[in-house]
Amino acid sequence: MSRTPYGRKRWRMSGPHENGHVPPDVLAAIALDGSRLPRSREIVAAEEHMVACVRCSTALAGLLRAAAAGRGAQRDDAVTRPAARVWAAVAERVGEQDGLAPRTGAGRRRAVPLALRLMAAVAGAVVLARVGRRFLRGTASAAPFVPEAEVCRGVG
Amino acid sequence: MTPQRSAVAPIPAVPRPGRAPHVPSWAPVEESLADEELAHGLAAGDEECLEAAYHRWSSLVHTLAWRSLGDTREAEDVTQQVFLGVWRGRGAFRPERGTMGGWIVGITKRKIADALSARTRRMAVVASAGSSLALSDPAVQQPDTAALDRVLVLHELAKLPAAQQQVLRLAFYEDLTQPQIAERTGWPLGTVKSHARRGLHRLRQCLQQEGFA
Repeated sequence: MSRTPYGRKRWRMSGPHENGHVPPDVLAAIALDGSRLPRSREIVAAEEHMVACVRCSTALAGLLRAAAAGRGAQRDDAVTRPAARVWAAVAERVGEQDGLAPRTGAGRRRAVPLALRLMAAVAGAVVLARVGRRFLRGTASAAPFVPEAEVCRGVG
Repeated sequence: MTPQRSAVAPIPAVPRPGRAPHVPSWAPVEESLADEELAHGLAAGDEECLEAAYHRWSSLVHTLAWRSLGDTREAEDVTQQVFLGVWRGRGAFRPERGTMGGWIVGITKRKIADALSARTRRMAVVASAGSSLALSDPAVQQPDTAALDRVLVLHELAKLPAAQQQVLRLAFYEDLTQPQIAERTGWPLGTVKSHARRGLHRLRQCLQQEGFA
């Protein structure tokens, strides 16, 4: 056993990665070329070693998994961008959270249009309220003063 | 373990859900910020960093979700959930434990698992209601690890240095051995081996990052 470069005995005696374990180049060659590799002494020794060495066989398993994924990958596996509405939804949700607790600079920047939108909504509601009252009372002059400031305070 | 692989013939194509109705994005990912800067900005609550992270990883996240779920709407929901999760959990990212991409992929896997569980629950309700529409639908079971691997590896491959990419593409797609690649490229065998080792190692790492069992 100890005659081979990665024999079991030597692996047991030497802990460090470089000593007694299958070199990364060889692992990669086995993962990529597999059974087409010439059965050199080095390859045979590596295979014997991996029967007993969890670390090397695990490393090889990881490389084989990557190689299999690479070989199996097709154009269809290429990444595709999500629709624009996805980011819009994320930004909106994040903006909502910031609206509750605007701590960051970015949050304050976003808060301005939000405030403008709210004010516009309030103004719209005020106009609707006026029109509605006029409609209900049937007279324009009777429309009372609408306390806009009060409404705005409630929102702000 | 014997290093036999079914190598010579490429792995036969697995039946997959229909093609996503989006144009593939071949555009380069936004690289203006380093991952560390991005992580730092994100932790500080900078929304622009969330947007940069979205630009960098949303296609990968979306494709992983779509490949797993086979449904555009659900994939979009998962993508949204992932980036909201990134934002809410931004304080939990630990650079010393892995890359930001790995962290986001880990979140993606969990959200995909959630979506699949929800689907399984819906199916169970249907089944308990006496319908024969059963749990035979393969999509309601576990995430298809092999499909996720393919997406991740293809994504990572495109980020490798050109020489490593070339070596691995010749190995993967033209099924050349390392000596054949050396012959084709005119590079010394040792150089080919070195590129293959580094590249394949990177691909393996991207599959085994945090959250990727």
